[in-house]
Amino acid sequence: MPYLLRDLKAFLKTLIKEHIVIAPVKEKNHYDYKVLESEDEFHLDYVNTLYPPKKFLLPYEENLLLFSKRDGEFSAKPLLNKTKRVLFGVRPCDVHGIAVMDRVFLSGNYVDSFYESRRKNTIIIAIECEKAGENCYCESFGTYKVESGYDLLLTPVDDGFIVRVGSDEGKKLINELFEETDRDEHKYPKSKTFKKEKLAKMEKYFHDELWKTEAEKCLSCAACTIACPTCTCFTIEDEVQDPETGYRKRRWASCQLKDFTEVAGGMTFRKETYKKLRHFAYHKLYWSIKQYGLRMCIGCGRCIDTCPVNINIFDIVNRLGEE
Amino acid sequence: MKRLKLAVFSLTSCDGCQVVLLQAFKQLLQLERYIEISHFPLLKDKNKRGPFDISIVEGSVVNKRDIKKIKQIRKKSKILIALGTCATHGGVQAVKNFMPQDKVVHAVYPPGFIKDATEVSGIGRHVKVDYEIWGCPPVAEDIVKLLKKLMVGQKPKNINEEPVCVECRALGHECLLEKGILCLGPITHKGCNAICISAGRGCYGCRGFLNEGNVKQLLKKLTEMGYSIGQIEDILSVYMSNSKKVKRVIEYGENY
Ligand code: SF4
Ligand code: SF4
Ligand code: SF4
Ligand code: SF4
Ligand code: SF4
Repeated sequence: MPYLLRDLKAFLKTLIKEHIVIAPVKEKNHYDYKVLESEDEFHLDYVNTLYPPKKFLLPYEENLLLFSKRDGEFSAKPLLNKTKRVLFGVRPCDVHGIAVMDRVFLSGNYVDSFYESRRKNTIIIAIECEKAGENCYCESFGTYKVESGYDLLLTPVDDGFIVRVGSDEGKKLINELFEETDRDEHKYPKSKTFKKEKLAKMEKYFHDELWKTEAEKCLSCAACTIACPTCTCFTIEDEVQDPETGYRKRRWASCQLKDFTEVAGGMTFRKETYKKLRHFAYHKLYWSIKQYGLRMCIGCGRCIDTCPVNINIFDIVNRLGEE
Repeated sequence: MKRLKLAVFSLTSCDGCQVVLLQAFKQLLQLERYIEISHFPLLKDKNKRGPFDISIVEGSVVNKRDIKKIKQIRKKSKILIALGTCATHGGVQAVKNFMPQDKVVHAVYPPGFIKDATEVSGIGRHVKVDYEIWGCPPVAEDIVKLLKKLMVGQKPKNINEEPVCVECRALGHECLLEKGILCLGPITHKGCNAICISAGRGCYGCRGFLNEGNVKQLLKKLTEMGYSIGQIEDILSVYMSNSKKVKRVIEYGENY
């Protein structure tokens, strides 16, 4: 049974009292996820944040292990982050984005315990969108709608929010501020679409000249992969502290950067910019279906928002095979 | 484990890199068991003459004396590290290479005062350099990290061959290019944690340019934003006037 929450601020206040709450906060010209000090910092006038909530589950740089060798004995201690946190105000597309990260790190033969530890200790409170942004493509992917992956889902309505519970953790957050209701409203805004039917034929367009002409503009700055909520690639480095101890670190990597495909001996598999840009588009839109059984792109449009030279992968897809 | 003998030398510079080394001094002292500071005139009176396991050199080569000195340092050092933009690329003072030598020697000092001036360059033009630590000023952490790696016998590869944009975006900044502010981040080595962008100013490229940076398209973007080629050249040559890329921009302008 859904609930009606009339006073969001009062709810946020109770949340902040007991949890570390991370939510979109207004910067000069954009919104970014920040730890809330007070409920007054939160305003529901954002479309979405410029960068995704990814960094709270997979930080830009983190220590994974503390290793040491003392008196011939080798040991490695995993450094798991168990801080309890609430991600508040997550947009539906980003709930899908976190589901993609879960697929990458938590299923299959290898579970990433570092991601798992953060993820398990993160409560997700999602809020449906009333309007879409300039580069929102959720309509193309159906990602404006979420059925799982959240602890609470809020739908803005005239007299407050309809709240759906998605987990036991979510249930625990229901307090006297919530009243039961049988209302079943949702907010599904209209957003952009592209010629999605072409995705099925992506194989055919692999050698399309458009990849080359579009990539001429590309600065290889990696803003697109950093801003993408489902780009999860990382690199590992061992950093010595002294001859006996050190940290194993991981840091985000990006297929748009040179050393991503560099192997021992200096050979680089994707040197040309167009191959890198094409790889990004194919991984997000096509190959991930074979790789993970889902499409990595959730249509959030952040790669377009952040690209300084206005490269738009959906616009490229629209034009594939047309010249 | 044998303690490594470390030496610090200065050629023509503002001494700022040595100050950064002093910032890292606490961390260096923690490595005292493994590294002995045997030559560092800014820090102590009694300095050994070498040979050294690791020599760190700041400053650029601007005259024949510097050339002689850097060659001597190379001879007595197993590993040579160029510290900071002067040592790696020539630094701010390399801008004087744009003026004819006979004019530039009279620009500030009285005639006859400067006798052995040469073209300004990084030390790599005269001797083999094993490692470069970029930046004007460089980052203390880079120095400590490199020393720790060398201490255990690693031969590290530079991990900062990525654009400043990576750190800038990871910090959550909005791109200055979107706000009409000139920034060289996309073509410049990261590692400074995008410190200038955090302060609201565009990157001026003090850590040197990436080999694969797309200068042509960045120029196009900046001119579309309303910057003239002259304005762009001025910023490009603050730190990197010795770079072939800058010379190309000056020669070809928009037709880079
Ligand atoms: S590829 Fe672009 S639109 Fe798709 S999820 Fe990534 S950032 Fe969003
Ligand atoms: S698009 Fe590139 S950076 Fe993103 S997940 Fe795929 S390979 Fe990694
Ligand atoms: S953000 Fe744009 S310019 Fe930068 S790497 Fe991605 S596509 Fe290229
Ligand atoms: S502000 Fe500069 S460094 Fe930051 S993303 Fe933009 S171009 Fe790159
Ligand atoms: S932002 Fe650019 S100019 Fe500033 S410290 Fe970094 S590399 Fe140097």
